[in-house]
Amino acid sequence: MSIIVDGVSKRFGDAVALDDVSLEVPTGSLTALLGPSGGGKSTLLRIIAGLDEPDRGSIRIEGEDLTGTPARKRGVGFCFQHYAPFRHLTVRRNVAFGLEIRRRPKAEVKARVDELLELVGLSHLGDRYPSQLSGGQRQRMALARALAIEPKVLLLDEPFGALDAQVRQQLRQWLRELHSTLHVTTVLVTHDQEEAMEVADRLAIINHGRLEQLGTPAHMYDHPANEFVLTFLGPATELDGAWVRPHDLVVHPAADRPDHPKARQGTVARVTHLGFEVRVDVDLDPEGSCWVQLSRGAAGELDLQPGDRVWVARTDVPADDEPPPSVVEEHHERHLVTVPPLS
Amino acid sequence: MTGRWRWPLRIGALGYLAVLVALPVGTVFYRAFDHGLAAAWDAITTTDALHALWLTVLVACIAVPLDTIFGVGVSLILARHRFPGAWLLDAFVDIPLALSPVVIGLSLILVYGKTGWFGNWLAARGITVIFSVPGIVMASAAVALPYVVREVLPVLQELGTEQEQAARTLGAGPWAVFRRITLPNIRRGLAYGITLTTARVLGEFGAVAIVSGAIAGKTETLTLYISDSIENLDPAGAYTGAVVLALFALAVLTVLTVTDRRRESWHGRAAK
Amino acid sequence: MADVGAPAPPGSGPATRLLDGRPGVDLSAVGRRAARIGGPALAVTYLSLLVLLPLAALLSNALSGGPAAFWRAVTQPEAVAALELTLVASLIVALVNSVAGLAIAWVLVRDQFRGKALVSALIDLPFALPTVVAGLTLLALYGPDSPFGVNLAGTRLGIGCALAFVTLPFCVRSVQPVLAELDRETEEAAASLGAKNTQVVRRIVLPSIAPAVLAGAGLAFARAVGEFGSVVLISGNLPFKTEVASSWIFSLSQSGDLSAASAVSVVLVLISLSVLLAIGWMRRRFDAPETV
Repeated sequence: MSIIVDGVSKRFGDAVALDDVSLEVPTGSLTALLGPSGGGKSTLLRIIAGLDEPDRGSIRIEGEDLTGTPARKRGVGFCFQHYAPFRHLTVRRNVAFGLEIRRRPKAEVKARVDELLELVGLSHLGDRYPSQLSGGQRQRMALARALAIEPKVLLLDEPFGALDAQVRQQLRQWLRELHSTLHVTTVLVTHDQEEAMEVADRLAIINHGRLEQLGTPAHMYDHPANEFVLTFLGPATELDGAWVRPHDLVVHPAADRPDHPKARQGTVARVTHLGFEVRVDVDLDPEGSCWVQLSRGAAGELDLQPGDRVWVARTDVPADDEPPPSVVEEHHERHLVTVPPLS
Repeated sequence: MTGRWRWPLRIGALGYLAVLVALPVGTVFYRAFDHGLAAAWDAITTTDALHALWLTVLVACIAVPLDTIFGVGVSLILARHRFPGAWLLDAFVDIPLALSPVVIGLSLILVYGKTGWFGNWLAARGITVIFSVPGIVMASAAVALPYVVREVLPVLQELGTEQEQAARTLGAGPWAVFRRITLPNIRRGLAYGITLTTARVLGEFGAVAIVSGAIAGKTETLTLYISDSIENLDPAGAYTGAVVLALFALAVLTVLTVTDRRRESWHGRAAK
Repeated sequence: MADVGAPAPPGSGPATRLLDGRPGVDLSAVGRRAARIGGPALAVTYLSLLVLLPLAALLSNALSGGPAAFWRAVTQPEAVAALELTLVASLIVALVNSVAGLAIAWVLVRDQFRGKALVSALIDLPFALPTVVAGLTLLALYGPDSPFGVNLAGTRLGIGCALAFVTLPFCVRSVQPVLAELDRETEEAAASLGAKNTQVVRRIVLPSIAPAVLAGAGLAFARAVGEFGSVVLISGNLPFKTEVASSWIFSLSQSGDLSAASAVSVVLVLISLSVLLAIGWMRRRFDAPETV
C-alpha cells in the first residue's frame, strides 16, 4: 500500500472539513478523490502532502508514518489547480527547482530536465516564462516539475479545473497515458465525476468530510452504497419509490404493453434531443414523474410526441419480486448509510 | 510566520517605526503643552499666529477645490477618451511629484514674478502674484496637483464604461450620468484624493517659502509661521502651531485608515 | 408624416427632433462637443499655468546666460558640495528604508498581532504630516534639547533621519500590496519540492517582490533629493557641511541670483527624473513578460 490514511479528522474553526476518514491507496494506482465542492477532498489531499495538519489521525506513505513531517521532507509531488508557477523563472528553471534545492550536479539537472520536458511535450518551450504558456502547457510544466524529484506519490488538486473543456479532455487522456508509462502512485482530486471515471482505477467519494464509498468506477456505478453516490455518479430517476438509471428504462407505446408486471402507464410531457441521447420526461398515472434516456435510433423508431400515452418499465431487474444482492462495499460499512437498494 | 524569525522581525520593524515616527510626534504634543493648556492657548492666539491660521485655511479653500476639479476632469478625459498624446498628459500630471517644492516655487517666480515672463503684463494690470496671496495659492495648487488624478483615474479605469453606457441607453444625459453613475462610484477614491490634496496643501513649506517672502502677519502660512518661530527663538509658538497641523494630520490619517484604500493606486504609477 | 422621435439624419448637428416631434436643439450633443474640446483645453491650460510654463521658464532661465554661466553655477564649490551631500544622503536613505520598509511590510502582511491598524496608521503619518512639523519633531527629540542626550542638529546623521522619516511610507506602501497578493501556492509548491523556509524566501518570495522594492526605493530617492522642509530645521544649513541642494537653491533665490538657482534646480530635476526613468526601465525589463 502506498498511502494509508487512518482516522483523519480536521476542523477549520467551527466547520468540520474531514470526519474520521480512512482509506488506502494501492501502490501504482491512480485513485480519484471525488465529491462536490467543499466536501473536504482538497483538504485531505493537502494533509497527505503535509501542507496542512490533521487534528486527529495519521498518514503513512510507503509504510512510514509521516503525520508530523513537514511537506518538504515527504517526497510527494503536488500540483495545484492554478499551477502555482514560479513566474520569475523560465520553464526549465521551474522544472529544475526541486533538483537545484537538492544541489544535484548541473549536468544531472540538465539531463533530467531535458528528459522531463520531452516527456510532457514542452521541449521547445524550455526558455519561455510561464506567463507565455497556455493553461494546459502550464499544468504540464507543473507536472514535470513535480515529477523531477522522483516523488513517492503524485498528488493532483483539481489539475484540470481551470482549463477549457476541450483542453481538459486532451489532458485527461494524456494523464492516463503518462500514468501507464510511469506507474507513480497518483491521487487526483476532482468534482467532475466523468473525469474521475474516465481516468481513475479507483474512486473514493467524499462528501461533507466523510468517505461515502471506495471502489472501482464500474462497481460503484452499478452498486452504489447510498443515495448520494448513486445520484452523484450518474443520472438517476425515481420509479415506484426506488431509484433507477434512466437508461435502464424502456418506453412502449400505449397499445404495446410490455411483459414486465411492474410496468407503469403515463403521458409524455417533453422530448429533448441531446445529440446522441434523447431524454423523454413522462408524467406517470396517477401521480409522479420520471425520465427515460433513449438512444437516437430507439427514439426515432418510437417517434414520441408530448401528450402521447406510453408504458414505462425497468430492464435492470428480473420480473419477480426478489430483492437484488446488497450493494454495500465491505470495508467501509461504518461510514455508510444504508438505503433501500436499487429495486 | 516562521517561528524563529517572528520576534526579531517584529521588534526590529516596530522598533524602527517607534524610534523614527512615534516618538518624535509624541514629543511635539508634549512640548506644546509643557507649560500648561493656558500657555499653549496664548501662544496660538497671537495676531501673527491667527493670521497664519486664517491664511492657511484660505489658501486651502481655494487650492483644494481647484485641484479637485482639475483632477476629476483630467481623470475623466484620460479614462474615457483616446487621443494622441494622452500618455504625455498623464506624465505631465505626475511632474510635481518628482520636483523639489523649492524648485516649483522658483519656477513660479520665473513666470509670475516682477522679472518673470508675465511680470510686465501682470504689473500693468496691478496684479501681484509673487509675495502675495495668489502666489501662495498657485504654489500650493501646483505641488498638490497630482493627488486627485492618481486616486480617481485608476478607479475610473477599473469601473469601465458599461454602467455609463447602460444609463445612456435608458435616456440619461451626460450630466445625469456623471451625477448618478460616475460620481457615486468614484466617491471613495475621490475622498482619498481630496484628503491627500488637503494634507499636502496645508503642509506645504518649500514652495510657499520661496513664493511668499514669508512676511509675518501678511504672507505667512502656518508652516512658515512655525519655521519663523523657531528662528525667532519662540518655541512655544512653533510647537503650538505644530500641534494644530499635527491634529489635522491625525484627522487625515483617520480618514485614510477608515476608507481603507488599497495602496496600489498611488504606487502603481511609480517609475515614470 | 415623419416618425415621431426618429433620430436626426447624420451630420445634421444639434438640430434634431424631440420625442414629441417638435424640432429642437440637442443640448447634450452641444454639451458633449463642448466638453470634448473645452475639457482638455481647460485641463491643459491649468496644467500649463501651474507646471509646464514654470518649468519651461526654469529651463530657459538656467540657460539664459549661455552654457558657460550654467556650468559656472553648477560647478561652484558650494553647489557641488550641496549636490553631493544630497545625492549620497538620499541614496543611503533609500537603501536603508528599502530594507526597513520590506521588514515592516512583512510584519504587517504576514504577522498577526493586535494594534496592526495603529501601526499601519503610523506608517502613513510622515506622509500626512507637514514637512516642517516633521522637522520640528525630529529637532525636539534628537536636537539640542533632546531627552536622550543625543544632539543631531547640524549633523549629517540628522539629515539622514529627516529624510528617512519622510520617505519611509513610500518604501512600505510600494511593497505591501504586492506582498499581500503573493500567491501562497507558489510557496507551498516550493516547500513540497523540498525547499526550506529560508530558501523559499530567497528563491521565490524576494524575486517576486523585487520590482516593487525597487519602485519604492526610486520614489524614496526622488522625494529625498528634493526634500526641504524637514531637513531645513535640523540641519542648520551649514555650507559645505549640512547644506542640501534644496537649501542652496533657496538661499540663491533669496539673494536674488535666480539664474544660478535655476541652473542648480535643472540639475536636481534631471537627477530625479533619470532615476525614476531608470527604475521604470529596469522594472519593465525584469518583470516576467506578459502574454497578450
